[in-house]
Amino acid sequence: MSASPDPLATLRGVCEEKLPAWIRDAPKGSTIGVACSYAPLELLHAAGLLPVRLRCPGPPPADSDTWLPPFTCSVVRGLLGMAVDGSLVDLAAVLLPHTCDSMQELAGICRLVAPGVEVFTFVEPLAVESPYAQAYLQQELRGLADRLRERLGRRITDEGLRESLALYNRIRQARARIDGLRNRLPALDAWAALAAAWLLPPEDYLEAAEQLANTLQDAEPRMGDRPRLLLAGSVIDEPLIPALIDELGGQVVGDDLCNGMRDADTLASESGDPWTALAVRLLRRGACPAKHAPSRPLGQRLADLAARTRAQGVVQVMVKFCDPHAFEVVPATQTLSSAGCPQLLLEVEAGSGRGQVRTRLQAFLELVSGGP
Amino acid sequence: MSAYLGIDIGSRVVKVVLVGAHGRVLARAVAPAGIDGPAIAAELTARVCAEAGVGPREVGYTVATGYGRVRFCEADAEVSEITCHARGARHLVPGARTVIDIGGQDSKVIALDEQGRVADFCMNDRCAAGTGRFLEVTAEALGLSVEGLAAEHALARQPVTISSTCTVFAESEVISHLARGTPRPEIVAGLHHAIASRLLGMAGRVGLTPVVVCTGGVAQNAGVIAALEAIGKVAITVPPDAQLAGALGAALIAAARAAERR
Repeated sequence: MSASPDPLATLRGVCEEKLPAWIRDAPKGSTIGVACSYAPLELLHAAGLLPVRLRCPGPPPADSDTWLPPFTCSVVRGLLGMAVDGSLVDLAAVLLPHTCDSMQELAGICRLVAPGVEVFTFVEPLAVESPYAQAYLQQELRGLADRLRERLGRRITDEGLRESLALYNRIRQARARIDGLRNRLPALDAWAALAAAWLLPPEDYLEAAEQLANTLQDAEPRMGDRPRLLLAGSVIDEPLIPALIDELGGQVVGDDLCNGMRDADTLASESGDPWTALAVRLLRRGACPAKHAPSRPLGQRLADLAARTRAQGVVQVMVKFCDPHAFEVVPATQTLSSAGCPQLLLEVEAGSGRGQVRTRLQAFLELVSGGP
Repeated sequence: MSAYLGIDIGSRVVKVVLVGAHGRVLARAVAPAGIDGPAIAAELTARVCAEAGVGPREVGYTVATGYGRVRFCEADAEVSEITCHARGARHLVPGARTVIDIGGQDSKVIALDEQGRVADFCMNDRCAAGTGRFLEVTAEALGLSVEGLAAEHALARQPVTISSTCTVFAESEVISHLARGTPRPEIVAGLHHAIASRLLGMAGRVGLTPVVVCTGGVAQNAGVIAALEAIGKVAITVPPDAQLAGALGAALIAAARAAERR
């Protein structure tokens, strides 16, 4: 990709497409859809594939009830909808990590409803701090590599994997630069600039993100004394919440989101065995509520991040029916309360109405500002 | 004379309060929202101004709140109903630390700090359970008006259990109880207990620090208040003008903003 005259427009643009348009122009058989930030992107890239996150904006399809119980989240419903409506046919394959039980069941249902779509599963460890986790994960990574070779004819070399680790390290560093310059960006633009990392080919994202970070570096802070919020929670696939924060006069000073900065805190080692380096990165990265990481509880991470970013309040965005998150929210809320940090729990799903979300955010901004 | 307007455009009812210096209420008006809440708000505004003898130019500041606040373009500012109800309730009951607001289509529990500022809040986020609409639908199934529910509740010996919090399923349960010959007062008391349980479940997230104040249209239903007190084991204060708390809070915020502007 040549240098964009407006990198932010590139990053925003890809967030407006349900399935990025570039996929249709990519070499046949080169793209793989992934559904979770624990997907080993470096491994897929080293196999010559272009990973793209499958996102589910808008209301989930009504016919998902045919296949899924009513307590299934809109993320899984939306992914199933994409399988049913043929949206995935331009992809060489889909990788569904074992994020939760619903996601695991989705893999089996996808094989039934979309037999033409090549579905890979990846069962990463849940107890990421277990002494056995690393050996198991390395074995699972090797197993995935074997399946990619058998079913897609893709081979991975150590050197190729090392190069991909370096590329994604640079991407995480570019994201961290943008994250650190949020006071130059409205919340909606910052959300798009970071979410696009999962939606563009990695080389293209890196170029646009570094260009944007350089531009921001030279710009003046522009968010002033707007109330400072930390945005945390599940995946945010729709611009509603950051757009409302802008509209209501707030600013986002940091995030702990699945498609935001949660995984960007840990880089992979670029020396030594690359398989070990990838496994260690996945185990040490900011843990998702679906993982068991007793030494790094979500609440403490949010409290620390809120203190570091001088956030005046934490907005926890939870996708309805996301059980792992719902259980984690309770202790996280207690930790934040003990730290004296105001918080708002927003339970939403794809296609959520604007009115109730707006009222809650407005009231919360009034609360952290000390009154209207 | 300086006057300040608070306009609460709720999903079911529009409330307008005009206050003068020191928050003294000059006039108030209430009307169903119909399909065009902002238009009703404009009519009520004209009415309260006329009643108080206040010309349009004498209104120093207007704050809109409630469901339709964003569409009311004549306001100087819009403020969330949570903040407005908190301000209004604290004005009506100076020691208030918890506000339970039960409106037509939503309900909320608001915790106030010692200074009366909003410290935390939660709103119902699933359905009409715990709202005035729940009572409207089920009252209709019982052949009662909403206004008649409290009197019917007073006749109950033992409330029945209404297990559904979904309004539609609760209506089915009511019909089943009627078919079994359950006395109507006991069904009404059961409905009030169901709504109270739902609200108190929500209140558990922010706490129920006394003094607990109930506002919103449903606060006028003594049966709901009795159920809240019985299940929550807490005394609840219902101020006069409970339904107007949001509009009053908006008017008081308008007055404060006007003072800041001077």
